[in-house]
Amino acid sequence: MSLTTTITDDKNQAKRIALNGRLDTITAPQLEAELDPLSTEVISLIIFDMTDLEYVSSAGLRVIFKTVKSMKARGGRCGVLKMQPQIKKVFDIVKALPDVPIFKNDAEMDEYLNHMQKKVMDSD
Amino acid sequence: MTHCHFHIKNDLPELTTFQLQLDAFFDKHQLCTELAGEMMLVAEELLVNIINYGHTDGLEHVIKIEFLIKQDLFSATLIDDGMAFNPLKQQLPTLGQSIEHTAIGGLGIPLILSLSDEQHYQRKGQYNVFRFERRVRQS
Repeated sequence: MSLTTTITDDKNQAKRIALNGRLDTITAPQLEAELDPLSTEVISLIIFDMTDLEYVSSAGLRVIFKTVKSMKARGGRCGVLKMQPQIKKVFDIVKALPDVPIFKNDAEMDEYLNHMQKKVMDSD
Repeated sequence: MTHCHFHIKNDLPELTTFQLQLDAFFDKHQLCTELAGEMMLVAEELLVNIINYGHTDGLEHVIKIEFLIKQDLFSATLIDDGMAFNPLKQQLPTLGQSIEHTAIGGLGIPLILSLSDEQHYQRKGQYNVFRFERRVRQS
């Protein structure tokens, strides 16, 4: 039962959190601790890259939801990139993320980020 | 019909032992591995509750587990000596709300109910006995 988290900067003050492995009762506190420092940074979007996430339990969902709520309260957003079928099934059961964009691939996500960038430039 | 008995301690790292036993059981009976993941999820939600809230004495306790396969039906029974607790009687969170109103706790029960076909709880003496079942297919 292990989880590897890789946090990288993306364009437009976005952060990509790549999750690899299992997000369960054992590993959820580890992710929570890794996300904590981000709460003081200026971030417009957090993208959870779930390409290599194999398993998620309610403990993992709790960390994701907490982050989505916190980002929304700060005027930011969260998105999800590429869910494996078993992960999507869990999110579907709890009817989660009704207002969180889910990207099927990098191209969809890039289009969203470019759209965000255009909106920022238009408003300047 | 074939079955397997083992036990774990009331300690969260023991979830790994459970997972290894479950994977080995599914592998031995050539059952669909994707279902092993779903059964692990149901069991994790139940076991975490037993381990975190079942006892207040701080002592080591044992959780007995039985896996059973009969024709195309898999069942797992968890027996613990913690305080009486019927997960099936707990209030379900309201799902499908906007993120501001989405519950971040209590999501284990909807997962247990959705990913298993049958669930049974009984208090037998000083033991909680919880059984869940799922139709399975060979891989």
